[in-house]
Amino acid sequence: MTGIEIFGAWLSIFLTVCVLSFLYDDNPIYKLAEHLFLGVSIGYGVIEIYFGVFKPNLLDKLMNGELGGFQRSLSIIPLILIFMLFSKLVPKYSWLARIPIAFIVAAYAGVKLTGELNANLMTQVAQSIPDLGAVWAEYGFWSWKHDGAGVFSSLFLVLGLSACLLHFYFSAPQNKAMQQVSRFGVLTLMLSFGASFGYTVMGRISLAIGRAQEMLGLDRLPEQVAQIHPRIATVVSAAIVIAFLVVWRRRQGDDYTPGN
Amino acid sequence: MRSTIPLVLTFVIGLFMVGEYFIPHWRYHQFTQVFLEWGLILAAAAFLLGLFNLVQVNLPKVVNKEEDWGYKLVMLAALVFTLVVGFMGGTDRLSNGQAYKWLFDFVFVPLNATMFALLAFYIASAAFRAFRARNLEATVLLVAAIIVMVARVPLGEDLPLVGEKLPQFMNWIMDVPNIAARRAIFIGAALGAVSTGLRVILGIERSHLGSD
Repeated sequence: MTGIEIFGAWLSIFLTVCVLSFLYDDNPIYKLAEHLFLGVSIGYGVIEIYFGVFKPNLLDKLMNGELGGFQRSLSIIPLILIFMLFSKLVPKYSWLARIPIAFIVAAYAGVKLTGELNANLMTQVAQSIPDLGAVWAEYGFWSWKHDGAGVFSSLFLVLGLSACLLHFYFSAPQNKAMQQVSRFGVLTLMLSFGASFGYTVMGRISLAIGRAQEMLGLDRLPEQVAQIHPRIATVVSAAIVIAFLVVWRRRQGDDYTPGN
Repeated sequence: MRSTIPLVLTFVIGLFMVGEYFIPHWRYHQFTQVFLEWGLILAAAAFLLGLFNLVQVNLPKVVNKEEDWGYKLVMLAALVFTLVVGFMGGTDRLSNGQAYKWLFDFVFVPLNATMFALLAFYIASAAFRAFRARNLEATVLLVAAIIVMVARVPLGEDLPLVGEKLPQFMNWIMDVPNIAARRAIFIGAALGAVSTGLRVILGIERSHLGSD
């Protein structure tokens, strides 16, 4: 590993500790890391957009001599639209930006109109209707071996989906029967929300474990650990951040209230 | 004129894009692809507009040393540095040894991961305070969340009696009730997208054009 890489590994551990200091309170060292993250991530976004969108789709086409006159002049239109979009920065001409905005919105509204109908409406409905005979032949009523696949699950999927849709149907008064179906829909939704919540929590915890592994040097090869000494980096970073927090807290004096 | 031109453009372009579904000709498809490419370029330009707006808002605060100017300076400096090393790196920017790659590996990735990891603590604390089995719906939510969380760790598989079946039951929750609810949401969202798309194309929905 080069010196700059070792410095980078120490910096990444220090920044991790800085962000974790938010668990104590919103403090200047956290804000510093937060703003650094903002700056770098916006810069990263701009660079990737430039090399991923602008360069291949606009600049290369404008500068490519091999392209015919018509194709080249076609590429000038988005350039003009970009200038119109940037007129938003000049209040007097900001109305010009409506034209490119109208273009983007119209193009995607048109595509979405048929795309959503095809992909999310027809396909989703079609895929929800099970072939019960085939399901029974393959899995029976319920198969633990195949994570509960079977006739019961297929019926649950259709009934749950229908009940969820009926729960959001407000065009008719909800009589007693509708209320029962709607309640089943709510329970299906709750099962889904609970599962999504658990899944999200586990995803976040896995990220936290990843950070802890880096701080303890568990995700690196032994020779890299011997060069970086991540545990020392963690202790030093934590000592710096804690010392800073103590000084900051003392400077705040009696006015300090957690969360401020 | 300031409103009419954008409205007419919305109608014409929107109708043209819808037409692709009914006229599956390669030449027509070529035109819609060109329009979509322009849309992509313009969406990227809108991101750049946001960047200019960010500088326009924050730079005067740094110059006038207003509240929190130091943090804003750090943000702008990090932004400029990332842009400089990114443009200098060019198409090789993500190769080993490049400053942009170093910045990505040792600043962006750890900060990004830690920011999201931090949410684990707050989600857990919020759940501890809010999750109460007050009624059947709340109990179902709670039980589903616990099953998914426990079944995804090795400890869950070692639980007596239920451990063996727990991961399979978790997969059933993810594959059946979860898919049923998500499909219902997708179908609702698709209906919403279709009606909003129609409203936009027909000029009934004009909020994207702003006010005069």
